[in-house]
Formats: sequence, structure tokens, C-alpha cells
Amino acid sequence: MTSLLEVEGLCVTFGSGAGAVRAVRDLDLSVESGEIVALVGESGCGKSLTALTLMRLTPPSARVQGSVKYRGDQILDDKGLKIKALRGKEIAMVFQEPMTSLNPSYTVGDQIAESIRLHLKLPRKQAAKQAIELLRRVRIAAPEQRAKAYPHQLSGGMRQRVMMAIALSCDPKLLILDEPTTALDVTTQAQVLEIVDELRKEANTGVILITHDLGVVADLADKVVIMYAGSTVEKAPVESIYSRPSHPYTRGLLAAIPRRTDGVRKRLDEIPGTVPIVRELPSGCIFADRCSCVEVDCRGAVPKLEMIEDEHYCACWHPQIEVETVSL
Amino acid sequence: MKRYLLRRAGASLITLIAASMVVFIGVRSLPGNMAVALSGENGSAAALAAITKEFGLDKPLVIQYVDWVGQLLRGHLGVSPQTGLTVSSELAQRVPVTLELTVLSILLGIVIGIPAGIGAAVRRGKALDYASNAVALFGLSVPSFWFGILLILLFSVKFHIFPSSGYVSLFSNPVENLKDMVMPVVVLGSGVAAILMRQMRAGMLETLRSDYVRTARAKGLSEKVVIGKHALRNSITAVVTVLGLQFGVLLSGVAVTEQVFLLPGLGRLTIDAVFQRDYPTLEAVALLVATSYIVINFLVDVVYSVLNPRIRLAGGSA
Ligand SMILES: Nc1ncnc2c1ncn2[C@@H]1O[C@H](COP(=O)(O)OP(=O)(O)OP(=O)(O)O)[C@@H](O)[C@H]1O
Ligand SMILES: [Mg+2]
Repeated sequence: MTSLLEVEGLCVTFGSGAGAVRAVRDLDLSVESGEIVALVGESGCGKSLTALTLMRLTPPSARVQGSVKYRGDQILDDKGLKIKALRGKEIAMVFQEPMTSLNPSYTVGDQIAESIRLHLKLPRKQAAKQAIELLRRVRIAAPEQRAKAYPHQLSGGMRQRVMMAIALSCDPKLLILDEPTTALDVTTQAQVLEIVDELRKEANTGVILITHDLGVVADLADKVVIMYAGSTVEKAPVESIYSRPSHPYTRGLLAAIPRRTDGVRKRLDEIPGTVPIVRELPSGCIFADRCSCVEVDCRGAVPKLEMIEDEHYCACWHPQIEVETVSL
Repeated sequence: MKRYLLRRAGASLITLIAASMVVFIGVRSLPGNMAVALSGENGSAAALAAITKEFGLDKPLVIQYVDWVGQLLRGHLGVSPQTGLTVSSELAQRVPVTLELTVLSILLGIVIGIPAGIGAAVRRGKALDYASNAVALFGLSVPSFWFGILLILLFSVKFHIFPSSGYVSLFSNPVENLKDMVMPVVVLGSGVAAILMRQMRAGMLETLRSDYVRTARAKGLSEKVVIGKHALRNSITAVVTVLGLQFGVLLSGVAVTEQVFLLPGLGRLTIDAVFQRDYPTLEAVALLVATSYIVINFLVDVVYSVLNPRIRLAGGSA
């Protein structure tokens, strides 16, 4: 059976020679219909870049290698013609930057309707009506009025949901959401995630959900990919990630999840240090400098992503396999 | 938007009043004197006094200004002491020439500059980009009189395609008129095109990098729509501003080109008037140019506010 999306050995590099920055390294990823795959990691680890690469919307200076297959069809072709035909209709994306991702010169209703008219070939009036329905669906109050608003008249959270409405407009088969809830309060965040869940169940949409907050993905995602400085450090079904996190980085991320019981949000400084600049990666394990259980041999060679149990991959010389339950 | 435009209109009016003062004082304080110029170097003292009296040149400057404004408000631009004709009849002859020259040059500038700017931005770093930049640089760095003379040498003297000088009114013989206009319009229009091209390219490059252009691509829109609709709409505003400025620059700067091609426009009228210290004519021309500048600036603001919903909706009911 072919996957909805199958990514193999994806690399994104900026520059060349000694100054080359390998911002995404050797990423493998697969998404099935109706599945939610979470891409998790700290700021700058290459999540957005990965998503943009899949849409082929990377800056011109980025060099992309690897294989991206959509329903078995290679879409990482030379000219990018294949992905162009899929964008907006089969594969849709919600960008991380809600404030600047909408065109300031057109009403949000028009911007949603534009997509509908293009892909569903609906006449103007019907498209406008459907745009209002979509705004209602992403839980925007008074959608008839909001449709006539320009982006600058809406809050960041509203704009993010407008972006969501655009992405949903043509019932995509694969939806890429880049931190779709960052600008939202807890209630709206829950509503948006509810829509995503609905979509997966009812429309059988495959979803790539990017976040830096492992807490968000617990109830929603099927698979989790943990990225660190461009590399995948751990990849597993969501239950394994939560019950048996094996990479020290993953355990650090889990420890940083705000406990719903204390109500106090802890920062990610549970893991000492910061993500290294991708250019200055240490030799050996890229996480060695920040790792709490680093050993001498960690600095020798780069650990490969290896299967430590069924469907559970980890790139660590000393993965912890003992059971540790993280209470949420 | 109404509020905004009213405010802009008010500001324009104040600017106009200030401009009229500057024009008046500027002209009247030119070295030399109209009365002297008129009576000639060796004119008698009596003649000089008579002229001074006739044109009120002996009154204080403030009174002269008030008289002049009063006259303007009644619709009189005065009489040229040199020719004895009313300034308005003189302007009626000259303005169409300059206006035609300016409008055609701007149109040529738009037709060449804007597509070239878009093309250069879209094909950044490619042959088209380099070519347009090189041509633009040439257009900007070559003095217009030299370019004009070159055209005359080539197309009039050598190939006899266009007349080197002379002018036939648009209304009496449109074909001949356009033939007269081709070379001067190319001279002035190429400069406008160069400026517009660079502005358009810079604006377009910036917009093409923006997140909403990326969104437009993510929607699956064709590159034509992405550029022609989403990017153009937002990068054209700066071009409109420059266009307005260019109009003013042309109106006041056509003198050299008119001189090169011997076109009887405002530029030549001004030059003659300066030599003869023809105050009424000079004042009328300067005020006319200043007024068009101000009106065009206001129009630019109007266009700007129509293009930009942030201004359009500010203060209004949205
Ligand atoms: N044009 C570029 N030139 C060079 N490096 C770049 C460029 N664009 C991105 N990068 C590098 O790619 C890396 C990944 O950036 P990306 O935006 O994907 O991070 P992210 O995981 O989405 O972070 P965040 O959580 O802050 O959104 C960054 O470290 C950045 O330095
Ligand atoms: Mg990001």
C-alpha cells in the first residue's frame, strides 16, 4: 500500500562548501490518510523549512535533495510542476506567520473565495457564500461581516483562522499546519485542534502538525517526529513517545510540558543550553553538549536513527528504554 | 477616507497659497527690472518712470502681491508688457504643446518602464534583468539635450524620417503633430521609463519576498495571477507616487528639450520671459507649474488611498 506522503532522505542546504548550512538532514517521514503526524522541536530546528520544502516554497537559495512521494508519485521533480498542480487543492498549508501571510489589499472573504473559485470552479457569488461558511467553520463569530474585513482589521488569532479557512477551502487530502495555534488563546486553540481532528475523522485528511509544544500533540497525533538542529532524533507512535521516551532531548521536551495540574508554565530551560547554530554542530552526537547523560563515546560519531522497538526510532548512543510514565 | 482626503485637500490649498507667495517674491526679486528691460538700456528716465507707474512697480511688494492675487481671483493673469497680449492667450497657445509632450512622455514611460520593472524583478539576476538595468542606467545618465541632438542627427539629418524642428498643432494636423512629437517624447519618456522601471523592480522584488505572495502560491494560483494580482497591487503604490513626482518634474523640466526641438511650449515661453523680465508671464507660468504639482500630488494621494485599504477605511465606517 502506498502512503499518502512518503518522504525519504530529505536534505535542505543553504550555501556550499565550508559555509554550508544543512538545515534539514536526512529526514524520513510518512503520512497516511486520516493520520496526524506531529513535527516537534525547538525554535530553529527546521520544522517550517521542512514544511516549506514539501510545498516547494523554500527560498531560492535553498538546495533540496531527497525524495518526496505523494500517493506514490515523485513530486520533488526538477521544475516543480507536479507540486504546483497539487498546491491548494490536494495539499494545503497554514503558515506560521498569521500577521503577514494575508494580502493587505483584499478582504479576507475574497482571499478565501479566490481559492474556491480556482479549484472548485464555482461562480463568484457561490464562492463568496462558501467563504462565509468556512469562516463559520473555523469558529469566527459574525462571519458575514468578517468576510468583508481587510486583514489589518483582524487580530492575529483571527488571521490564523482565516489562513486555516483558506487551507480547508478545497478539502485537501494532506494538510500541513505550521504552529496553527500559537496566536490563539487556550479555548480557541482547542477549537482549532478540534477542527483538525474532525477533518481527519470525517474527510480522512492526512495532517502534518508542526509545534514546539509536545503537550498539544498528546491527544491528537498518531505519530511524533522529534527534530533537533535539522536532524530527526526520535520518531515513534504517540503512545511510545509519551510512555517510553528514549532520547534525552525528547525527555527534556516532555519534562518541559506545563503540567495541567500546577497551572504554572515551565519554560524549556529544563534542557540546559541552546540549539547550536546548524553550521557549528559538534562532531559526534549533535545533542552531546546539552545532554544530561552524555558519555565519552557520544562525541565520537553521529548516532544513526535506529529502531529500538517496533516503529520506534531513536538516534542516541545510549537510548533509555526503561519505562517511565509522564503524567499529564 | 473622506476625512483623509478633506485634510489632504486643505493641506494642498495652504501649499498653493504659500507657493503663490514664493512665486511672486521669487519673480519680483530677480536681478534686473521689468521697467528697465522694457525701456531698454538707453531708455529715457521719463519712459522708465511711466512703465514703473503703469505696472505698479513703485508700490510696496505686499501691495503688489495683493493686487496680483486680486487680479488672479477675478480670472486675469495680466498682460505681457513685451507683446501686449494677455498672458492667458499666450498660455492657451503654449500649454497644449507642453501638456501633450508631458502626457505622451509619461505614457511612454509607463508602457515601457512598468513591464520592464516587473520583468526584471521576476527574472532577477537573469539576462532580462541585466539588460533592463543597463538600459535604465543609460537612460538616466545621458543628458537629455545630448540624446535629443543624437536623435536629430540620426533620424532627421541622416534618414529624414522625422522633422528636426517645428511644430504643427495637434488639432490642425494630427499626423504631422505626432511626427513632431516622436523624438522629444522618446527623449523625455526614456528618462521616465528608467525611473519607473527601477522603482517597479525594487517594489516588486520586495513584494515577491513577502509572506502573502507565498500564500498566494500555496493556494495553487498560477504565477501570472500571483504576480499580476497579488504582488502588483501592493508594489504599484510606490510607483504611483514616483509617477506623480515625474509629472511635475517634466512640466517644469521640459524647457531644454523644447529648446532642442524648437517646440513652442511653456519652456520656451519661460526662457523668453526670463530674459525680458516679463513679470506677468513668468508669474503665471510658475504658478501654473506649482499648481499642477500640487494638484497631481493630491491626485496621487487619492489613488494611494484607493489602493490601500488601511487609508481608505481609516476613520470611515468599515
Ligand atoms: N534563507 C536561509 N538561509 C540560511 N539559513 C536559513 C534560511 N532559512 C532558514 N534557514 C535556517 O534553517 C533553520 C530552520 O529554520 P525553521 O524556520 O525551519 O525553524 P523552525 O523549526 O520552524 O523554528 P520556529 O519554531 O521558530 O518556527 C534555521 O536554523 C535557519 O537558520
Ligand atoms: Mg517555524
